[in-house]
Amino acid sequence: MLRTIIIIGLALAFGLGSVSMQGQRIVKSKNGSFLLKNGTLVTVSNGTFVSDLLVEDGKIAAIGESLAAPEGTTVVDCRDQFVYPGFIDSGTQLGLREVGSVSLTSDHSEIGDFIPHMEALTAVNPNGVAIPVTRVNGITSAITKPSGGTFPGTAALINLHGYTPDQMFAGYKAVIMNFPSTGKRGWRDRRSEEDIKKDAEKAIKKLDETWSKIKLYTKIDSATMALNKSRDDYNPAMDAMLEVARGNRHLMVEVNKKSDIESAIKWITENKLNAILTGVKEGFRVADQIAAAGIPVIVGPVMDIPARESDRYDIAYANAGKMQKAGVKVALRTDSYENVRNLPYEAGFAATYGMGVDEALRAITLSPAEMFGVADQLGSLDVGKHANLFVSDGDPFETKTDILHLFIGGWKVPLESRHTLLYDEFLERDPIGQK
Amino acid sequence: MKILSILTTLLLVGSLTAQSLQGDVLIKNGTVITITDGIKENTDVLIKNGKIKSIGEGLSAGDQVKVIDADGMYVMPGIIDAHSHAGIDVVNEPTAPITAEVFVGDVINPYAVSLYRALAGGVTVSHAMHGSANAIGGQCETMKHHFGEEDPEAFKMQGAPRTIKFALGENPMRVHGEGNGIQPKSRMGIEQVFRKGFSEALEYQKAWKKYSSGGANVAPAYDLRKQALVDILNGDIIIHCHSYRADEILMLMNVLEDYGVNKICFQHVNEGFKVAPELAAFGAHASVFADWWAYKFEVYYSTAYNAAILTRNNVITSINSDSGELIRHLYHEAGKTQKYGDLTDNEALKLITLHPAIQLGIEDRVGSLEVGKDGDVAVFKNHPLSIYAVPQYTIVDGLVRFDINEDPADMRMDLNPDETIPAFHEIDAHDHHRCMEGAFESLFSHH
Amino acid sequence: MIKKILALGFLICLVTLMPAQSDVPDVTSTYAITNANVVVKPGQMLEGATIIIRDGLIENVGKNLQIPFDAEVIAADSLFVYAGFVAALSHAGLPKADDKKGGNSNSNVKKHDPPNDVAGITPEQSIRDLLKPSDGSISALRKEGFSIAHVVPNGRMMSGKGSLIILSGNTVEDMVLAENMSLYGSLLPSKTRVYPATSIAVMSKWRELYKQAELATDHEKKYKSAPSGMKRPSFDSSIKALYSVTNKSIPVFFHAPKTLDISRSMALQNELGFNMVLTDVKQGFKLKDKIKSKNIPMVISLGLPKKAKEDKKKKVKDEEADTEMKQLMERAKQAKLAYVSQAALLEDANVAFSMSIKDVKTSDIRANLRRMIEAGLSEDAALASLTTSPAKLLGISAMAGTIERGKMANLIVTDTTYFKEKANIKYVFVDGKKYKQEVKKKKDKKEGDKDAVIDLSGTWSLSIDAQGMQISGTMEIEKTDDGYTGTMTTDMDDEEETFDSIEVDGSSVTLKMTSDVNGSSAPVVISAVVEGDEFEGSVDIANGMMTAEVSGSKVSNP
Repeated sequence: MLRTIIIIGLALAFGLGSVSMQGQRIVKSKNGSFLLKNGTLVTVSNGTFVSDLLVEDGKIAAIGESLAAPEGTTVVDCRDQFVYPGFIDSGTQLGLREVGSVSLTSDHSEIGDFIPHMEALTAVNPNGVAIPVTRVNGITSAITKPSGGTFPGTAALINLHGYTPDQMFAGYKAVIMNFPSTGKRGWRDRRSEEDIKKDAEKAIKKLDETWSKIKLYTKIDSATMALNKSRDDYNPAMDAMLEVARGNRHLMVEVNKKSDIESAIKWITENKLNAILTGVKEGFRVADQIAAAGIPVIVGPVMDIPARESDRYDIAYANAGKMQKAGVKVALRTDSYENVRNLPYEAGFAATYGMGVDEALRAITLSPAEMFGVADQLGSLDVGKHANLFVSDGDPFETKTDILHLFIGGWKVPLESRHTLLYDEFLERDPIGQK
Repeated sequence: MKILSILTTLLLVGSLTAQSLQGDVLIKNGTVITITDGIKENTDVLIKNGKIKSIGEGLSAGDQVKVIDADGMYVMPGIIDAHSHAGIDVVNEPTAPITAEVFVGDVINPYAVSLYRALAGGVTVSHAMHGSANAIGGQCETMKHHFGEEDPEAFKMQGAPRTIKFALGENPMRVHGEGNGIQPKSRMGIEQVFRKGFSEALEYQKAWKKYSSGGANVAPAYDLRKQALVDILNGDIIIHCHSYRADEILMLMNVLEDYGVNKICFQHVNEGFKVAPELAAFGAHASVFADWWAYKFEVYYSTAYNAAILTRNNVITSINSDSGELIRHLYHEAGKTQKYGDLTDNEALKLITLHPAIQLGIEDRVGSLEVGKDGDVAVFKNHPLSIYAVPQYTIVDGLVRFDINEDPADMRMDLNPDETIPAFHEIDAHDHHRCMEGAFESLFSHH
Repeated sequence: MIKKILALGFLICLVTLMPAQSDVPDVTSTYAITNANVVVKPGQMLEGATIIIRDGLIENVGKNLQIPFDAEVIAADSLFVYAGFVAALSHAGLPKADDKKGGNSNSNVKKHDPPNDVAGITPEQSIRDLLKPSDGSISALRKEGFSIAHVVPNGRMMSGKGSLIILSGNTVEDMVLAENMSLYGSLLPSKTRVYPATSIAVMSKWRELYKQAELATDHEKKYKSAPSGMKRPSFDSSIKALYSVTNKSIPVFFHAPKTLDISRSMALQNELGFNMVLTDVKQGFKLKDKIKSKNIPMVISLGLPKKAKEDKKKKVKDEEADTEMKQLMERAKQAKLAYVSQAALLEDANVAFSMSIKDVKTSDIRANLRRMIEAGLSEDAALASLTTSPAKLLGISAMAGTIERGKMANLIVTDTTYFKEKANIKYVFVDGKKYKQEVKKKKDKKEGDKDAVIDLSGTWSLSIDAQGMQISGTMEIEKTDDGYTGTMTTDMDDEEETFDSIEVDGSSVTLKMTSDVNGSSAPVVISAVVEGDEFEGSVDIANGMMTAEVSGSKVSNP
């Protein structure tokens, strides 16, 4: 019921474009200037205080007390409400997968083991049903990433609003790599310890061979450029690695087991790469080493069962906090496609189990923005940044809290999704009781 | 010989604790969430011989009784999971569309660490279910989480009604129709599996009646499968049916009506919200996920508001885990109904206490804090529906089975003698549920 | 060359394992073992005693006995004599892994309704139809001192009936001591994922078949007395084969290695009421009190977890390990120890037990017994588990298990007490037949020196002692960038064969090749220690099928 009231209220108050189609109400996003009055601003970068915030031209135009509303500005009363920077999920398959078990609706995985040129952004479906479902919990941006073999492709940071992938692109890409694992793949993996080790050794050998080729290719490419010549060979996979090899693009290295993390750190350091470790389930066991190597991490899901039978039940909840306390830069992810909406709860569990609310909040806002080099645009409530933000009636980590307004790039996005629409239709179904 | 004596001592300790499964404990000064009788501040709960003896202020017990200081904490009934696969070694016997004769209670695994992890999430009772590979799967077990005991019998909740797993839709269609080339390959076929099974069971029952009343000189061929179906028809077994789509839910209710069966709880029932009035009219229950959807086509048209819509339509609804991961934070899953549908605190908590108890037919024993009920209690720091809730103690039949202050990391009880360091499992976060475990050797599938 | 060594090797094996007089007619069946230390039964020894054997039986045991005129005298001064061992459960004499029954995935088989044999339900199978008297496993067991084995079929849920087999004889008829005296059962699902594909379905199937057999017994009885107007009973061979179980004339030997198998099979037994023997038990220590209180006999497994490897490299790593790691490793050590200590703990609790040798390689039997003894099992209890206990369990105490007048002449003669590491068996008597065993002089195996530096390259002359057969040969080894390559030629066939790999670790070398034996390839591994120009070690052919000793010296450097 509350949902309906809010939506109707929004439509009335702000005159959102509303189109009737076969009886169904379509609420469109609205672009314009908005003045959020008297909200408690949780800026992440500069503390928490009550203030006004002006959204104009897609940016946060001003923050301050008693801001004047320029002409045509919609004023939103945020008294007793909270304004947060939009949340960033640092690892998802959002937009790439639609129905999990129906393979032809999934675009996150391509054939091949060395295919870094597969671009996640290409396959993002701006109309994926999960995108609005995600937004309603305050998530405004996400890394969407391919998965599969050793180099499954290139991930992209997207904003969760736009009609085309390019409109959604938020200015950051990284090449994904799955570091050879010496762990079991799951309960179906019946390989012996020796076989797993052998497989991993083989994979590392192959990885080293691949990497020496990448280095050679980069060298030749640099030499070619230096001579002002052009290359006429077509080698897209190698081309996709050039910026990584030069240290200009991140390599996101998925690695989870303690000894694998150690190998990965060694490998990254030896090859002088600009890397981020992802997954990092046993990061708590080597937190000091990760901190010493200065490599940031993306951790998640937080709500996960321990990877070893002997591990404490809450070790996955506590992992992120343990690394952060050791001095590692931590961002969080859901690693989901359909339930990315649970990101604030993932952060809430990390907060509860040692990370603390402030650091957990940072791990889904400013920390990833800094990690991805987009802190000038995203991650906090600061003048000049993109207006990716939301207004809530309480602590967004709490399940009781409702998100009241959401802005992405200055667009006021309706908080409507398949889930809310089905609720509205079926809460009081008509006709009732007839067979 | 020293090592031998140490071993002997260890084993003795283990067998001593196995003697009594009913304990005494006094929980002092907590905020007691009774579920059926409001919230009582600064109140004590006294458990004697495994049962709640009294709830009130300033209670005392003898010096021998363990006291838990719950000052500033929340005391609630032990959480109940109406859909779990923790603590059993086999989930699916995926070979036939009907396997009503098999019983997962035969393969309880007291050593499953997943049971301890559930305790660490405040869960005291779970419904260990057969999987969803067959239209009529196996019989299930209602378990008390007496982790630490070695006798599988200790985990069986004595007196709990028998239950059985049914399954509709994609899973049985895939396993039998697509997989083995036999019916059912469609929702049409699934209906006929039920009708054929029930009709044959009726004939079987008739034949036995004839024999035992002296009308035949030779006993009919003994058939455990048909006998289990007869027990369902006689109302001795509660059906828990894996289901998603509205049409298949209606189909099963129609079949059951034709055969005079009315004890049913639909499991998952993602499209239950579409037929909530029909469910309510039939008296069927619903046990749902808080927010799982989109992992397969039959859950694409889902809504996280399902529990709220069902609740508002007076369907007895619970929130379940079906997962070794979710079972650890059902309190949080229940909290999501406040996000999706604005349930009150008590309505939300009922979804993981009294309602699953009703669905399992054990509401006279568990599901609320009332004098005379089993001493199953979960104690939380912070309100259990808050994201900041942390389970502190979990008590089963008056025995403290989880105590956050005495929690060694390594809870394994039965080690593989050929393994040195426990293996590391690279588990996909969405790979925890076991509903289709065993149904396919290589192909993995959701729920 | 290997082909020939193997072929010859088999011949030699057969010769040594057959009764010594096989190609020469027997002269007498009367023996006198004189002046021996006779272990009459566990805990009771007669020193300087004589045993008279006649026509397969022990005619007399005692001191100062008169030696019969027709006896072959075995002067056993300082030797020890034990009663021949009885294996309480074994697959001896049966073809390896019974993959055909219930093994072939036949596309005509309906997964949900397979025939019984595919489902693993063959209680009608009898050892009489399966036993292969010439199978090498029989003579191998005899060599370790066994004279009787309770042999059960390979299989799954109900593999079939067990029989008592005397480990000597040329035909099944010679060898059977008691037939179909047990059912071998388990909770193992079908091999090919047909019903019952899981243990829950196996449990149900047990219940159903049991009840069906009870009803069928009743039906048959009724039909016998008044067939007129009654449907005739069916002739389902599986159901009929269960009558002896349901009427409790034979027990079920239930395969129950782990604690959970024990709990589950005991629950089933409790429900159905059949006579049960828990079998192949590895974790009986956990439930010993429950088992004892229910008075269920136990046959424990001689199979043990692998011994922890002493790995120098790993040790260094262990020292660096943190507290958590150390705790985990300590728990792992204790877990392993618990299995090895099972027998000792049972002895401590006064629970009688016998030994199953189903899950142990015959060549590991004595080593595993010693590991159990090191973990606290007394030698008397170990001996009882191989003699008096199984004899009692299997109902043959009157004929076997001790060295007493009138019993079968099943004896083991050793040069020192059986359980000593250096003990050698000199004679085995089975059913009064004498089997003499050549005691191999075991050379002390040389330990390699990890820090030594050797040069393997050059030409080596070798001499191989393959169970008494002398073979000479040469090895040509070349040094390469990565290590060594090389070939070997012997005077068996003068064929040059190339090594697949040559590994050097300090002064220890391992040379591997794959040789063709009757169309299938077999691994050949030479492990040796090199000191200067001397080479000494052993050859393993086809994973232990045959071993030989090898020594040699370098004749020229490259």
